[in-house]
Amino acid sequence: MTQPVLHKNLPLIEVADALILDDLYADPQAARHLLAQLGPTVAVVAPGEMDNLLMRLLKLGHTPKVMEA
Amino acid sequence: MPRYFDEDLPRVGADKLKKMNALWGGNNKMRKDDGIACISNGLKDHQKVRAAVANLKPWERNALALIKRMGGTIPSHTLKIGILASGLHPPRSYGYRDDLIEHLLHRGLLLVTGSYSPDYLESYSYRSSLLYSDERLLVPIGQPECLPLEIRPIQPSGEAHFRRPSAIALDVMGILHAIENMGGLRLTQNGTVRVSDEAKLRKAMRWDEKGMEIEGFLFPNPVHAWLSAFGYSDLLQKTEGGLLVLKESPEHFASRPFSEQIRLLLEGFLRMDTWWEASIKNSYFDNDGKGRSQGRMAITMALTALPLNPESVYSIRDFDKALYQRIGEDFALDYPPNRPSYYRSTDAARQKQELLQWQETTRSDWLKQEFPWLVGAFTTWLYFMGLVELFVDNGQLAGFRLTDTGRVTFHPELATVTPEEPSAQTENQPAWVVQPNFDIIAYLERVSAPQLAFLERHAERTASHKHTAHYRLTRESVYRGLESGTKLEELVHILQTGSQAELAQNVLVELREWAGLRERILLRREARLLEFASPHALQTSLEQGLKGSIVAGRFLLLEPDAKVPEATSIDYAKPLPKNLTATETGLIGWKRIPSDLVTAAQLDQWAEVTADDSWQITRTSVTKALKPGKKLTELLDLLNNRLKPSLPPLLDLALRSWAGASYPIELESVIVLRCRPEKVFQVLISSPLMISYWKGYIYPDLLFVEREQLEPLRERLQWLGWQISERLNIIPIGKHSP
Repeated sequence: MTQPVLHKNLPLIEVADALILDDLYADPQAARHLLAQLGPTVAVVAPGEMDNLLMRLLKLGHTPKVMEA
Repeated sequence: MPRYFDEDLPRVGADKLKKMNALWGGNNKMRKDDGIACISNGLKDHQKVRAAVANLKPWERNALALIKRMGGTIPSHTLKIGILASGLHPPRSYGYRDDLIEHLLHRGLLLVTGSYSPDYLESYSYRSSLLYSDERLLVPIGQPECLPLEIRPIQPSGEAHFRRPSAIALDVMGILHAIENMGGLRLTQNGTVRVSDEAKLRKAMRWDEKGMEIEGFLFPNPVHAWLSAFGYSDLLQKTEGGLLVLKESPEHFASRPFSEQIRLLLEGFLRMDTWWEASIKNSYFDNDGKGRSQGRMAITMALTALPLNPESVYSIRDFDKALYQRIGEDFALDYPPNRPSYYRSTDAARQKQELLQWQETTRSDWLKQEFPWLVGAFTTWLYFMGLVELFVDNGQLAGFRLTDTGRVTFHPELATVTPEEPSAQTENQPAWVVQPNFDIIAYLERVSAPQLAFLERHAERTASHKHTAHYRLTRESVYRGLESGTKLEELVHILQTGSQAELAQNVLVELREWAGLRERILLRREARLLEFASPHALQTSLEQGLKGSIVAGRFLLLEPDAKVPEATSIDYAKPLPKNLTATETGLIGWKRIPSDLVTAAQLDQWAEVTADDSWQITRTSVTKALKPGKKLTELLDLLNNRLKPSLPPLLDLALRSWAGASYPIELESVIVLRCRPEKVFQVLISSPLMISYWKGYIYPDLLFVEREQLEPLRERLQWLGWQISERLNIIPIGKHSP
């Protein structure tokens, strides 16, 4: 791959601390909405599952900031 | 949608067009085309329209004002009753007052809509035509005028009840929030709200099935009332997915001035036709709601016609009598009164006697039927919306007066002399107090509509009373407010402005803490991520001026305005390419050009990796994926959307079976006698001699033989003289497969 690949309209989750993402992958209800982990603090969210992940995060007591881009 | 006469005019009869011309300077000698052109040109000219409207009689202008109030269309009977209730109209010449509507049509002020003949009025007393006026005629029209009612004030007695606008706003916001929290209401195929969702809303609002009680007054079937009112006030909309959802947020509604909120809701109540103010006698009574719609219009006109003295209290009985004098002989909730036709006598004295008898009966019927409904209108929507203050004596409604809101609503021309609505900027006293324990006490007589909307968005309402509403700042409520777009500094500033004091230090610290927590997880719905071949290539691009933040070794999160270098693009908002293959045994292959960031991870969730870009779906892998709550449809959607060629049917069956579906399959070694002629088959299964040979049959031609009866059966068949083939004539699979 020499030319970069632009991933448009990609649902992503970014966390301030890698431990948060580890916890989410350890929670089966949250993990089912998460796909590839791009780095310690970033993962791809399954397309169409952002609202379900948000609901799960709220249930777990998190207050995530939802952004468009 | 604006309505204009132009398209309907060619279908108006020539005789009527000649009369309609007069308003625009035409005459009755004009040809039809010229007449149409005369009216159309007149309507196009603003000055001519203003002049025409200025020359109308007050009652004719009133008719246009009522059409405007109803949103551009009005049933003919509602218009008739509205005009009669205003007290401004020509005197009755004979019989029914259909003359009023006919006159307006001939004057060119209205036409019939929803009919091929826009000049045809329904002549039956119980049927109504839907009328409209040209939008351009309605532009210069103001509020309806009324002849003051002949009614005298009384000394108020009994207990006074009134509602503050802010209390009403709180209630309305509560209902809107409940609808919003439910994610909308599901509709049936007929477009009505599902009974189960009505029940959910009732439960969310803690309304009794019988109704809600407000300060001792019963408001029946509030779900029905408010959904209708919101619908007609244009606050709800139907989605393509069969949901009834809010057209605007509760906060947006609440940010309007209180008087505008009430005017909007009043429009909804005036237009609704299915809700009842009181318990229904039977389902046939005013089953189409036209009577109630006319009655509500008449009440609002009569309230507009009250002598304007803010302190005046009127007896409900006097009001009823005054209203009856205006409309009583032409209106009833069900069938309108039938005036005597004098067919039995031509004698004037006899006619007078018949008329008097009829008037007595009509009034007596009104008192039994219409008066209780009128009281219901006062104690439900008029009271709930704070339009009237009620006086209750010995448990009965005795009198009322218009509140400030009522006077502004029914007399908007007085708006300039009405005190401004409360606002934190102009008041010397605080609109609320924020306590160190995060409780907020809002003073309803001081809080403005936007302030109330702000509290609703950023705090949990814990209680509301006549003079105060209680809220609490919680992590969730503050989060909800910040998610709606408020910045932390803005939140603090508005809380301090409303309370006219600094916030307690612990409140400030906690608000900052809560806002900080929100920054710990970011969910990006539509990120733009640039993937490089290596971290080095990424660094090089950054050095060349590309704007973004590195989120992982090779991935750069682009800033919204960042210009993208030449790159292969994958759009996750669109379906990804069909680049997967599958065998019947569940071996999945992926031709990853271009390589997206979701496919491999999605397949990992359902299958075991066997090699690069190859996965094996097994019973175990599917069961494992289903365990945390995933659904098989997710896998089937993935495969159906991405496989080329499509999913092998056997694998589809296997996946469904592994997910728990069961298919009735039977397998057994049997001895079969096949007998294709139906007549012979019937004889063999019904013969007493043969019955002991059979284990059973499958219609139409298979008989199953008891194993120990095989040889006796052979002998019997030989006795019958039949040639028996030792092989079944079956279709070999593969040669003649379907």
